[in-house]
Amino acid sequence: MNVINDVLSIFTDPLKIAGQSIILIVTYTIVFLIIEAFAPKFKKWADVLFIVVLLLTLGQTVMDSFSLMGQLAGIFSDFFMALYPVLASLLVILNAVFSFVAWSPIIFFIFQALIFLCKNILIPAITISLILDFCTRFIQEMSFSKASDLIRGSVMTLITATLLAMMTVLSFTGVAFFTIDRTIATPAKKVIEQTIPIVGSLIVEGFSIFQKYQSTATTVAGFSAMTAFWLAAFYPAGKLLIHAMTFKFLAAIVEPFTSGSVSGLIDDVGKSLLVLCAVALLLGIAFVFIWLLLMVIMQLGVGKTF
Amino acid sequence: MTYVFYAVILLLVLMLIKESINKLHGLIAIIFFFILLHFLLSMMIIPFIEQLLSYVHSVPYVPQLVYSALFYQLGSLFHKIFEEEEYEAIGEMVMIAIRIVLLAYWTAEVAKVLSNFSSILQKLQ
Repeated sequence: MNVINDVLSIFTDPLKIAGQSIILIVTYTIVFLIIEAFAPKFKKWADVLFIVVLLLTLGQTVMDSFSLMGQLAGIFSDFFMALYPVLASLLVILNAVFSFVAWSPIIFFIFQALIFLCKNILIPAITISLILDFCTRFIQEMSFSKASDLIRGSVMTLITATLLAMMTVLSFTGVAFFTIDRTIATPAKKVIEQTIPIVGSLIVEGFSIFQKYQSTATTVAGFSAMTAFWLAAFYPAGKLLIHAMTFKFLAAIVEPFTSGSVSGLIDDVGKSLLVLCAVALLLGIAFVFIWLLLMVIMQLGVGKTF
Repeated sequence: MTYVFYAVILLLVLMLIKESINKLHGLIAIIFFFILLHFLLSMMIIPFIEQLLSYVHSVPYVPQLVYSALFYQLGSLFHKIFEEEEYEAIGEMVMIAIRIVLLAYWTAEVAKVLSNFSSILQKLQ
């Protein structure tokens, strides 16, 4: 029973945190309204204090998300590093089936570049945009909102560009027996104009691509193993998505009762977390790709043809 | 309601004193202010805060918030009393002291989160 509880807690924990923070913020809003009613002179301070309290209670969630991303990038980088030799040796062995030249190391380069990008550019950029947002709301005379929007927008553009590059290289070198999908190319264009809805469409499009050749891989690994890979790849992204949606929801709840700066701050944090979620999604897609490649190569080794 | 009666009676007494012994009026007004403040705190504010906190006792930072609001409000009352006696500068100093105390408390609270945040930034580097 304990094991089941542990497994279940992985899925219920993010939801619990979401519910907890929603209840907390609603309580804080009520307390602040009471305080304002009885001590109207305190209002100017209360607005600042509201931001401070938000920072104190929700800061933990945000930092958890960031440390989760940091760990994720580290794990994936180690994992890819471990898998490259296996993949490369398999490629050499299966030289008859696939020409080694077609499997140019550019694929490995792309994956490694992806990890590098996430670790050194994307995650710090999102952190900076978060800090800028906070400064904008805290020091109301100075506004950095354009800068943080720019950073978020460019991070999203980088993510789509990387995704497109990954797809292009994979289909170009003949690695994958699927051509570059129009489904992934169209949302890529949309990304640059609208940052937020893309996460949803990325998820949907990503699923539709994998569906195409999932069946071949499933015969090797078995259904349960594939499910495990899927969960491992997209669990962090899902957790971040829940966090981001919680913030969006909170902003919607709090907006009528407090000053615009408070709800704006929560909303901006939600936006940043959504972009972070997109980064996690990108890593997840790369992870699943590596696994699927490995399985396809193994199948080729067994002698199956497509 | 008892409190309002107290206040009205004290107001009448004060007006009487103002007419008869004007010299002592300021002194007695301050004494009455503290008596009323004591009644207000012990009869209404503290019970109300306790009642409020009993509903939200598991929510972090609510007691600190409520008490800092109370603190600020008391400070502005003292400020008013100093202004009434035409010592604006001292009243202003009281307000500055209270603001500094509140700021120091909340900065210390935020500092914990900020140090966590900076440790994550270091990890990312």
